[in-house]
Amino acid sequence: MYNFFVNIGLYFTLLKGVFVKINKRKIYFSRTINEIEILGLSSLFIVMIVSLFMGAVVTIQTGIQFETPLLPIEYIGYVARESIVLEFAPTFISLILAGKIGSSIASEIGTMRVTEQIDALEVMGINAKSYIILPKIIACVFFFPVLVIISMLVGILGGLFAGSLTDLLSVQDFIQGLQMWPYPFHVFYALIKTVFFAFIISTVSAFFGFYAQGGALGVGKSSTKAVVVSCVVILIFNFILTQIMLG
Amino acid sequence: MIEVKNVFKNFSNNFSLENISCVFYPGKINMIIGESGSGKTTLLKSMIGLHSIDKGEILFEKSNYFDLDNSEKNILRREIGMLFQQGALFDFMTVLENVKFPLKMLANKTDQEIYERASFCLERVNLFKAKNMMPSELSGGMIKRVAIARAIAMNPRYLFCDEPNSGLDPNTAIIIDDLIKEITEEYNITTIINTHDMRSVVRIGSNIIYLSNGLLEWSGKKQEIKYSDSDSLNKFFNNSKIKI
Repeated sequence: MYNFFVNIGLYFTLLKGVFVKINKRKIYFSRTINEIEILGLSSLFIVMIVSLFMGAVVTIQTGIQFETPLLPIEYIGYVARESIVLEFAPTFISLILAGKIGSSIASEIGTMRVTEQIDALEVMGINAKSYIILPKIIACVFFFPVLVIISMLVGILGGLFAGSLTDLLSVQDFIQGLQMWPYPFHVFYALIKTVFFAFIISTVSAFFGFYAQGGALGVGKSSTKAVVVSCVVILIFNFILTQIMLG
Repeated sequence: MIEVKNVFKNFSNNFSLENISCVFYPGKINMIIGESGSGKTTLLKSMIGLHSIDKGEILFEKSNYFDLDNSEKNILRREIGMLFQQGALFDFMTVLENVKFPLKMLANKTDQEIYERASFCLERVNLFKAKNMMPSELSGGMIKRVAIARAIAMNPRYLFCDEPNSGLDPNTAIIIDDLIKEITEEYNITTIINTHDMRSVVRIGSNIIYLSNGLLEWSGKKQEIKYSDSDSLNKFFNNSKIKI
């Protein structure tokens, strides 16, 4: 329990060190673009694949629940849309990204720690926390919503294909369902959640990497902890944000 | 000149530095020697602010490092070059980018001036041809040389080297030693080398500080080692089977 509070304190101290006035903005900007490429663009493929099949499965499972003539078949499209937009795209994809990007951030920063690269920055008088972590946070916070929008679109497309390929419902019925009771706020809610999740993944993973100890083994442990803790914090914040915004 | 005054540092694992006082002179190779675990790295890292100390003073030209505020510390750190044991090159940058890095971050120079200075430093360590290589493509000796080029890029007044010869073959170790000595004398730098390699001590050392179990056992000039009354130093020196 003592360690838990020490780590919370260290986490916020780290954040305080990250968000400081920066001088060489040009360097930070180019590092952020680089991080968007490393963390964001490289995740595009996995996000699209997961979303395509996720949308397909959600549609088929919804169809199974709707095997009653009392409910119009178009509702399948509506329910699939809502499930994907509200929960699957933002939360499920964020959990996937916590595994992929979280472990990447923690192991990269952890390796910098154990190979004394962070010490080298500090000896030069450069704020290592800000230089290393800030571009990653900005890249995640700005690019995760893009990934989630892509996930929503590909997920719906997957649902449409699955519905029509399995003769569950026609393309027209699915599209009609998609257009029922549009709630733009739900998209906004999903994107707000995503921004929070992006911040959680990048900062929690950076925290475990920054305080990694003990060589390669320590880096591996910090990477695992980063993913586990990020996932748990995402689930907790998913509950809190849902209650605040939709409850 | 750097003066260490009555420095104490305790760790939770019972290791400690006890009342260390010594002076490091400019234009000389000052060496901290001792067995593994004697406190050399702790003292070195305390001097550059990577470890806090419990008591005492570390004076850079009469200014106590621990009395400086953050901006003053950052100004002082720009005058410090550090050669880490494993080089600590940034592995996502090329050799040239590594050397340019402190200049880009800390110096008010144009891109052309930065390139010229970085190129000069790389030429100084005979590695200009490797400027586009990544650190993972370099040998151990080349990594150390690039690290030296990066350490001198900002024209430091103080150069700290943590076991510069560790992991190197004897010939490469001599090249690194000679390079550090030349740079120290050429730019009148206060160089502090932390080592347990007695060959290095004999080749390039001027002032020697000997630590044992966190205590300063002996300090003096290299030539005086053989007249030392410290049993522990005599044993350490005799075991190396090297003659002064």
